[in-house]
Amino acid sequence: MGARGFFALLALFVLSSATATGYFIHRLRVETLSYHLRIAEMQVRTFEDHLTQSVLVTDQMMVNLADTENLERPAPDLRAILRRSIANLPQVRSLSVLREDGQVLASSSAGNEGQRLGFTDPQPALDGDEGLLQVAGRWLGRDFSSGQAVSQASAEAVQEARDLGFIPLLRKIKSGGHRYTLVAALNPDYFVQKYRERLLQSPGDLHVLRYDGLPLFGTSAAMQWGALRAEDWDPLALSEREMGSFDDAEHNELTAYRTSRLYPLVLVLRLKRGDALTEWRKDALRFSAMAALIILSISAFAILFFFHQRRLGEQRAAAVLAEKERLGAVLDALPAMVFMIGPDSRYRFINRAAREFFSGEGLPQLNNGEYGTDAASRYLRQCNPTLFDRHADEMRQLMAGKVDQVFSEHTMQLREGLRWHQLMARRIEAEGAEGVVAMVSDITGRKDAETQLHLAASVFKASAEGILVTDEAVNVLSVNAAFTQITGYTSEDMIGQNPKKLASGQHHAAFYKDMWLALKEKGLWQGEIVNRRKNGRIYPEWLTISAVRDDLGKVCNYVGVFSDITERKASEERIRHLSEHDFLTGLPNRILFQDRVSHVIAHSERNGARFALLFIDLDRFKTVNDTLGHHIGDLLLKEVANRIGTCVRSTDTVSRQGGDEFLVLLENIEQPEDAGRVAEKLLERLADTCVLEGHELHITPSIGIALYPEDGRDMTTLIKHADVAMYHSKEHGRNTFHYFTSAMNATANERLLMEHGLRRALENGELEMHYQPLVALVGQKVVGAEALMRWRHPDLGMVPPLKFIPVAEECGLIVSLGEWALREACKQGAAWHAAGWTDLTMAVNVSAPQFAQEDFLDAVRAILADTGYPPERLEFEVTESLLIVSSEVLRANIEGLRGLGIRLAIDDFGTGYSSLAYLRKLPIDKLKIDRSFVRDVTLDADDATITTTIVQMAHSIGLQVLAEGVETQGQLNFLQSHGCNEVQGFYFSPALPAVTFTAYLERNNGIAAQSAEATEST
Amino acid sequence: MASRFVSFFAVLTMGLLSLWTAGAATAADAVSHLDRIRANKILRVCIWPDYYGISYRNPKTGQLVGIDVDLARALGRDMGVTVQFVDSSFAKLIDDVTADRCDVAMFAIGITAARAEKLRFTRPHLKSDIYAITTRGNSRIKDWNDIDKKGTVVAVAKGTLHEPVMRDKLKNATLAVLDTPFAREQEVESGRADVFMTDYPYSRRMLETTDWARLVEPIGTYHVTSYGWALQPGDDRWYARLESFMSEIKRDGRLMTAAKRHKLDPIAVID
Repeated sequence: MGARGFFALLALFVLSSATATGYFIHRLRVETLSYHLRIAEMQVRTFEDHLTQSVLVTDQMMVNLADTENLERPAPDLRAILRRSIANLPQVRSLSVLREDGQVLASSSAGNEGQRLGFTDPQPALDGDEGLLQVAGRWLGRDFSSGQAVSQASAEAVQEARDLGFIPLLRKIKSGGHRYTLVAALNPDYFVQKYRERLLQSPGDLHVLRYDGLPLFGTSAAMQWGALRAEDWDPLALSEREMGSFDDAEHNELTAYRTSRLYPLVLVLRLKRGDALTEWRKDALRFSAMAALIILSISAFAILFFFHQRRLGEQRAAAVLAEKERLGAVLDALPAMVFMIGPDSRYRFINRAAREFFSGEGLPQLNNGEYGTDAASRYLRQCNPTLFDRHADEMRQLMAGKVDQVFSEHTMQLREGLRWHQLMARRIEAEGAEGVVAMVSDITGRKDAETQLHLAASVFKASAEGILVTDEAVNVLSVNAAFTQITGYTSEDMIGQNPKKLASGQHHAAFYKDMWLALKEKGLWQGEIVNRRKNGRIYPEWLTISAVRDDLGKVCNYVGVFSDITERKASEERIRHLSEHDFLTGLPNRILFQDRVSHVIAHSERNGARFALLFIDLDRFKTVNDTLGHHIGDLLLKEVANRIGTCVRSTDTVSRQGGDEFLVLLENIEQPEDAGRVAEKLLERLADTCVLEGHELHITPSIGIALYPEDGRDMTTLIKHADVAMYHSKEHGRNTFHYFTSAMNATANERLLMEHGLRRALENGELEMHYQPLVALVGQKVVGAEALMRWRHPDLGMVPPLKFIPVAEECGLIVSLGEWALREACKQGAAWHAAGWTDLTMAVNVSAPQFAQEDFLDAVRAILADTGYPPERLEFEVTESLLIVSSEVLRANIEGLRGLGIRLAIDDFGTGYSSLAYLRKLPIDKLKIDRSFVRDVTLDADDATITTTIVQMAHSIGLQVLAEGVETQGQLNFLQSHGCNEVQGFYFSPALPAVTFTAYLERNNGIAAQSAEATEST
Repeated sequence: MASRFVSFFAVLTMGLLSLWTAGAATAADAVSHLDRIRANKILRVCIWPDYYGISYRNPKTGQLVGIDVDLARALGRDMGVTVQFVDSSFAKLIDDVTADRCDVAMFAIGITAARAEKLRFTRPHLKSDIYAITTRGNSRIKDWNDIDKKGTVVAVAKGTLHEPVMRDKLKNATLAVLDTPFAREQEVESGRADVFMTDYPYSRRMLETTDWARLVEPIGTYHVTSYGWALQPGDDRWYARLESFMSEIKRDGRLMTAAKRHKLDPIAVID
């Protein structure tokens, strides 16, 4: 409210208050006047009553006097009576009895007697002797004796009288025939005094008038003698109303009047308005003063309040201004950009950060620009149209109140690079500040941190290592999934708990003490610790505990990272085990075995005990490996290892030395025979058929035994001697055992000699080829030759193939020996073909190692090309085991040979593993029945049956059959009778040198005679 | 009513008068009042029953009230006799005492030379100046000096000490001597007289019992009179007994107590 309005209002208030006060005072005046009028009426009534009563008593007293005959008494007596009569009537000054002529007959005051009195115009006027009291005009003086009627008195006389006067009351009485007049001098002082006393309380003048208006007496000096104004009298209108009151405004007087109810007397009370209003004036003054005071106070208060409010308003406005500036300063200090956009899309406020951003981007400032169309908006739209349009749309929705706030996090390509921005906008509806406030913060740092945090969280979550985080009081805050996986404890199990829960009880207190010491000093501890899983199992872990410190360097967290090293420990154990054990069989290997043997030697030396070493070598194991593959060979070795294990005591040690060699250490044996018994048991156990993946294998060992201390006192010697003994077993038909003897050492040496010699044999031409004729049973002619190798050792003489071929196989010379033999045979065969024996077939033994050579075919082709021998006359003899192996190389070579036209024959048939049915599938042309069946074919029914069956079966599948080792006519006859195709043996001829064979051929060519010469050379 | 009362009083007085006149004459000379009082066990005390504050018979109750009534009863108690009050007035005082209608007059009798010729007075126990009573409405009498003016009527009671004093003192005013009860008040109130003269106790009565009376005090001392009790001359033993009583009451405070009781302590005389 403005000052003008306020003061107008205030003036209105003062005016209305003053008016109200004035009206109230006016009402008070009217009421006061009315009150005084009423009081005056009451007083005049009281006075009238008193006056009437007083006059009535006097009147009655006079009437009473007349009733007696007192008036007839002599004057002195009458005087006494008169005196007594008025003794107690103070309103009567004297009482006189007048004769008809007016002479005073007797009087209470003796001075009156004798006087003649005349009264002019007594009221009411009487005709005759009506019984009415008459009131005469006033007399001056104390009594008739000294007084005179006022109407006749001079002004001096009035002055001299000094207020002393009386009113004659006349009563005409007849008594005793005479007419008398009784005159009572009414004492006005008595009344005036009464009236004055009463009027002291309420000022005013009382006047007593005769009914005709003649003033009789009054309280005021001025009215004492009745200067009655006509205007005072007229309003009384006594003819209409004998009592009443009125407010005489003209004379400022209040008047109340009343006529005596019995006598011609009127009382008029006149009150000056000023006197009546004295109290009112005081009240009015007091009230006005009070009202003025109140109005002034209220006004003053209002004015003070108004100015106070105005000052407050000004202060508030100043405060608002200051607040606005402060707010601006605060907003300017914000690192975020703040924009305020009004409802008209114009910028209302842009803080310093925003201004700097725009100047930094080389943009015009936004001052009062319009969002969406100004240069800055165009720039932003250019930067990222999609984003800008989305924001613009959101801003419109915000403005329209459709959404309350907008939040966005987005990237912006700015000059300094790609930045993350966060936009927050809200609508504000404060009065005078409607619009939208948008705040844009660069949150690139936060985003990076979030990424880092996310990464860390991912690591925490995904880590294969268990992670446990505690607070500074070592209460678990968090564990990761790996923790749960390793320990079995979930987050719920752990959070808030102490990691002590995991303790296994395997460590002493000192261990943990050291751990905490390290943590305290270095903030890091790592080591191996054994803890307990939830399921109660203990496990080793590799634990790293780091103390995390806050900015003040106070430890706030501990982070424990651990991995379950159960596996690693097991691996270590496994490696150790592997290093000491054979990979395949799990048996102690050479190293561990030697270690054990050393210990046993030491022990036995001290105790004089005896122990044995058993050297076990599997017979023909190589063939299994070569034919069935290493897989089967491995399985076989494992089986053998198991079986050996079952044959010895738990204290004994079984070891695989490599390949198919096993060593057994039998500790604390009493007798050498104990070792033999074990060897026998081994032979027995190993002889059992092995069924491995469908293959039935028969394996036999050769065992050599060396005893401590008899056969050696050191390990090397003992092992060597056991080895020698084993060889001895091999040489003696295998599947047996031998104790070492010193003689064996010589044989072993011989074998060694042979190996060395054999290497030189090819170079030295010590090898030569012999040929044994193959004779067809029909016609008994030589149809072929089996090429057989002979070694003419310079020292040992002729060495049979049985002796040197195994050596050659073992030392790997067999391939080159085989190739040499094939070349020699083809060369010789070509020679014989050239000599005309073109039907002759050359049969050559080919060993498994040869067949396994990848270049075997090439070698064969080369030999054929070199020698010019026709491949269709060449026959390769192989063992049946070779054919059943499904080696790719082998198969390819066989196919290649067949492609060349070379025929295949199975040597020593019947000793191997193959069944006849199986043979049908093989690409072979001929079976050679082993000599062991042929030898007893005429003596043993089983052998005869077998031989017969073989022949029949072979024929049924289209194979030729040759019987080896035919030595007798009976054998020949049996074979012939059973349809065998060919035979070879001493019955016809042993193997012959080429020259000799040529002679034999010449001799038999076309000759069906049997050979008489038999040379025992095979 | 007043007249009826007056006539009753008159009859009563006359009756008593005739009864006691014979007896008094026989015993007057020879026997002391004291012996007779003790013998009869009756103490006869003359009073003026209109004397307000001294020996006033309240017309509304008929009870006697006043300082001398109290003291007379005290005297009776001292002597062990019954007190019998005998109505008298200043006009009849000498006659009543001389005629032995009472043993002592106890109504604050002004000790004047004229009375002392006929009566024997005790030592005074009160003393009073002369005062005037006028109406409030009387404009002619404003102060004491207005009294002795031509045309002024001054009323006095017959037999009172005021009668000779005023007769002697007034030069211009008319003296009206009245001899009926309450006549002075009636004269003044009805306007037949302007003032009447009286003493302290009576003026007190006027101011207290009327609403019209106005006291006009003398300027300075006008005429102070001592009041005492009166008895027949000659009876020394009776006189001595009274004097002794007067001394006792002055000494023991009974006088002052009684004076205070009747608001007369301003005029009490305790030597």
